[in-house]
Amino acid sequence: MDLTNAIKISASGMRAQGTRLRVVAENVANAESLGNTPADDPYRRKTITFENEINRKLNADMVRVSKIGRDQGDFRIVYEPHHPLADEKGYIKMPNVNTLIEMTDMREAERSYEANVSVIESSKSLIERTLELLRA
Amino acid sequence: MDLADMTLFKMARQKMSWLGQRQTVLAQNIANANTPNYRSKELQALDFDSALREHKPVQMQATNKLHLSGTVTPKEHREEKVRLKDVYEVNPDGNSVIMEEQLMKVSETQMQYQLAAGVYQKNMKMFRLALGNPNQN
Repeated sequence: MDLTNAIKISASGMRAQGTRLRVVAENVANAESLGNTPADDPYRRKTITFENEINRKLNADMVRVSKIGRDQGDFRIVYEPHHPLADEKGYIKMPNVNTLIEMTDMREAERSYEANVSVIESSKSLIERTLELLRA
Repeated sequence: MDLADMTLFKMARQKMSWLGQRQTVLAQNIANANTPNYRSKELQALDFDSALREHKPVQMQATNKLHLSGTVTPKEHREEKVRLKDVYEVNPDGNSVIMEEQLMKVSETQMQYQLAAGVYQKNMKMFRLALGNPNQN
């Protein structure tokens, strides 16, 4: 049935946005995670990409997470000579996480999630309306 | 007399099935709102002219039983095709879903669905009235 399929499609969107939110949470939580020795790299920011996948059974484009990659951008270099991980010049490498970008990403994921929820609600009300025809 | 074939019922049913299918397409667009290179889709509108044209498929006359009828089956009234829409904005990642537009369409679909279901219900009530069911006023 079309409307139950619509709910399934929205659910796939919600799942994808949920994963995205998880990646954002990981990045924010690890915004200060450093390596174990001065030579080690600190935490590298994770990125997430979606792709659409044709579901033959529903004949629709569902969403799925295609890849969780690593941001190859430069690390932040901070001058902190007293830090145990500082190199001989007194610099430490901080993760390449920009909290502002993460927050924006989080908001966007939230909005998309909400949009999917409202589509589910709408589909549900259509189904209910159909069932109401029996009652009249 | 087949109740389902009565004009008003048939019309409402067809509208509802079209709207149901449209809801699926819109759900698909919204679910893919952040998918790179996804282009938003739309169901072909139900309009009277095209329905009229499509409703009379021309078939070859088979005068001999060895004649083949061909593999193309006549189209249904409802157009199943989902077409790529020409859009006015495409994101840098190649995604063309405009969330506001899609959500507006969802609510529009909902309204039209209510209308079609209402028409169906009213028609049913008229039948009840004509049949004189004592439990129904």
